[in-house]
Amino acid sequence: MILSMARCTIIDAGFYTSIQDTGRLRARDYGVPHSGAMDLYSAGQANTILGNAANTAVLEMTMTGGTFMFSDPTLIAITGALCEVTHGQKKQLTPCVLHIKTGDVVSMSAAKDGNFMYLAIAGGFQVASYLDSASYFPGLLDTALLSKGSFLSYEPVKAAGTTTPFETPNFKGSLKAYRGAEFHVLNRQQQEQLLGKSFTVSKNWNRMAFQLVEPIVNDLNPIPSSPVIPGTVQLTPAGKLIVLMRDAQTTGGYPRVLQLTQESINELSQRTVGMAVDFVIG
Amino acid sequence: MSENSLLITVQHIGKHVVSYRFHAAQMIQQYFKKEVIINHGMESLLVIWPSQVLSQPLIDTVKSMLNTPQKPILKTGTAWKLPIYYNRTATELLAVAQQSGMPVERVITLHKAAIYDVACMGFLPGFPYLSGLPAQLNIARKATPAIKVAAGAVAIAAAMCGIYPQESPGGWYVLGACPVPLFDRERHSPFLLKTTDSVQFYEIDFATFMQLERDASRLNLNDFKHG
Repeated sequence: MILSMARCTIIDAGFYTSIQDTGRLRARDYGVPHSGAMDLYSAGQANTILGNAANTAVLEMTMTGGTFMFSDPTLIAITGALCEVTHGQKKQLTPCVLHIKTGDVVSMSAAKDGNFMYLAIAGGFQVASYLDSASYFPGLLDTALLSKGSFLSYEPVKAAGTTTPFETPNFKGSLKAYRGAEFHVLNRQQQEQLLGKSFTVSKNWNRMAFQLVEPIVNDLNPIPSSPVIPGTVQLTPAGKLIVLMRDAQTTGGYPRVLQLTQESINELSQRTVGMAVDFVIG
Repeated sequence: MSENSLLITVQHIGKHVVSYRFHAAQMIQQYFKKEVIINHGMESLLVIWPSQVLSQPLIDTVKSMLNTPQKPILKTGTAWKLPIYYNRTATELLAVAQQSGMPVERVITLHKAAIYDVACMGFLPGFPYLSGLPAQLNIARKATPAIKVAAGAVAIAAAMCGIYPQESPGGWYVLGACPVPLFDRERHSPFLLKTTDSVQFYEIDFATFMQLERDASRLNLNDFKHG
């Protein structure tokens, strides 16, 4: 029997567009990273408004949105970094929900503020999963990185459901953090710098880590390879702060000076190059 | 360490650190089952509760489990013999020779004579931290990590040896290349190694390396086990 599934064709993939859910929990004791949407708040928001389960896979686009054609009626939500969405004759800003008809094309602009944009579809895309997650990670699930001409299947939605309005999100202030496992080995002056200074997002950022520009004088010894998770802030021998993000490795040998809260990881993921970052305990 | 994780540091320094860490992880995993995931480090482990917030009762439960001080007996895992190709003209191998003050040939002899234990799995999917590196080969990590280390690279630094399962940035010095994939999701056991396994390397020439690499997806893993 051939099931007739609806298709979302990727006319233009945008930049570094991947499938992400809430992350991969299995085999971390074999070194498998967490992955999942960089801004879990925005990804979750897109799912919630469509009535999807929280861990439903969404498309994550980086700085540049894609263009998509839908073969059958459905509902989609686009959230995350602000961008302009063109749907037929209509242009609107995100976050938005679109009622898709047969053959509709949806085109997204570059991000106007922030880094990551999310597209969720009612009922979710039918995607492959490995170790209980659909999230892209190189070598684990290569099909989850999307390219032009590829397509994703979905179940068409006949009657357009009602959606709840978007909540206005979060904050733009200091990033909340816990003291890291090696915070106490910093001297008083280093601690004051870490919590008193303002840092800048550098050009070195990706799904694994965001590096900050301003150095802190570092005379600490390396530590034995120790557990690290998304949100761990490492201090390198050169004095650079590296904030580990969703695709981070599971162990590291640099002192862990801070640990961001979940909310702050989401917030940092949307800060663009040159934007200020400062940390506060609690 | 965060809203939902607890960092446990093993106090038994020395060669028993792995046994105590591994034993503690087993006890915690058995008690909490699928409620927790475990993230290992060399001398510590992180217990993560993906769907609940860390609370005092949870901390107390873990503490009471770790209050049983008997010395754990660790079952030894598989003894592996893995092929390695040493490119004697590679710059990193030469750098190791220079830093350790030995000829390249001596570096290779020492490296392949040692028997390594998988002390920890972490970093990347299938990456083993191998203890047992001869003291003469103990060199510091690179000051600036290399942007690309090839899949299969066998590298050393900070008294450890490791094998890169996939191409990645890395701060260790590459000595050679192992053509047996450390991770292959299509394989019956995707992860080649596990903590408690041991590894010894045997040298192969370039032609053998190329042949094994070509056949990488259909190798019989039993060919690389001792006994």
